[in-house]
Amino acid sequence: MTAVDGVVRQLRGIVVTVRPPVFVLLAFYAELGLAQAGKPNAYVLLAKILAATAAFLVFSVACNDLADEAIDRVNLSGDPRRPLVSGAVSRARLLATGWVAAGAALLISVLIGWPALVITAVGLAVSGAYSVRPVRIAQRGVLAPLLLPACYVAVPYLLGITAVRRAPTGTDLALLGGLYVGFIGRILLKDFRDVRGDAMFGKRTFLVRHGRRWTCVFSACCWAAGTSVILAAMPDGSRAEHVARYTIGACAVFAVLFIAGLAAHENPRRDEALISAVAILGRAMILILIIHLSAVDLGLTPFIEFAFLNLLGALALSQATSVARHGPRLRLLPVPIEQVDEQHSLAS
Amino acid sequence: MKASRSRPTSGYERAWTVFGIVVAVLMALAGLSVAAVAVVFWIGMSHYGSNK
Repeated sequence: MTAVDGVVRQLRGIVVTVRPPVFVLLAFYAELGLAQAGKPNAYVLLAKILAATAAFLVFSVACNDLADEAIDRVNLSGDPRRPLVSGAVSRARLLATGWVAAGAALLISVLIGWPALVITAVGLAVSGAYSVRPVRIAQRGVLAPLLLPACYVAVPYLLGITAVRRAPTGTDLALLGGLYVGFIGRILLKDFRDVRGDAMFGKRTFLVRHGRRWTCVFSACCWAAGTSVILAAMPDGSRAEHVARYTIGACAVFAVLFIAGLAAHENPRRDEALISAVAILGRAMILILIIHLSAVDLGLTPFIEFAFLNLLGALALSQATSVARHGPRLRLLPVPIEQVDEQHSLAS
Repeated sequence: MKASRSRPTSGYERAWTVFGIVVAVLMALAGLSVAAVAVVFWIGMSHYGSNK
């Protein structure tokens, strides 16, 4: 292997480690923070925040993949999105990548400002505690779905806010609260994919402890509560804002309907489709907020904002309905039962 | 093995994707450039099937 091949392989490992879909989600929260603080099109600030967020995410994912290697071998064996399990990187390399990423996240945060440095440092500490023993909050039932959203939502959103002004206002924090509670409703559903490996290795997730029905009930309650707080945190009451409100409300109603469908039937393929549809609507809500806040900042006429919000609402509902019916384009194949048995005996 | 597998895109999905990209272009023309880029990434993620 030449030196160039080695560098390309290393870079590919980092890109896979950053989990592009998760990074895009965190980027949405960062941009929402900037838009909420009144600077939706601040490209240089956004670039700095995204660089810090990417490094923070690489550290978090490295910790999680190293700690969950055995579980991932059951839940996600051969999945190219898990570089450690697929053999793309070694444990030593992933560990080194994680430490370098943590250092990079702190360094880039210094460029944004000292509040960003504090936020990133706290985020890194919480993220490490989530995965790494002896704390390992991921195994502590109800604490895990409460803490992971704090990292994924609060860190990029607060980086966006504090890049513009020193401290968040009450409205900023109310919006953060709504986003946080709403994300808990989505993160609870992610455990449906991993339930076999989690149960096998004693990872006491909310789903393992309380079962399908109560997980869906709690998720729907979080959706309703989170959406209510987000709507309450939109105070000005203009006509365009009413459109943003009902578009967000429609996304939440459809999401709760999909969650009700998830509670009613048990089928891995259908679970994957419905959870993906719920996630599409959750991300659409963030996007609607970004568009609304950006339009207000830009002084767009209410008619144009009205048109964009309605078009995006229609797009969100159609995408979610289509994915709920046919499933996402990229699917996972179930692990054969003999491989599960083999992993179970190894775990014992 | 649990491996990833893609299914073909339907005409309905392709039509909505094109519609979404047109909306994003219109948003960029109206000055909502970052939001327009976000819409494009959001459409990509919708196909990918992220659970978050």
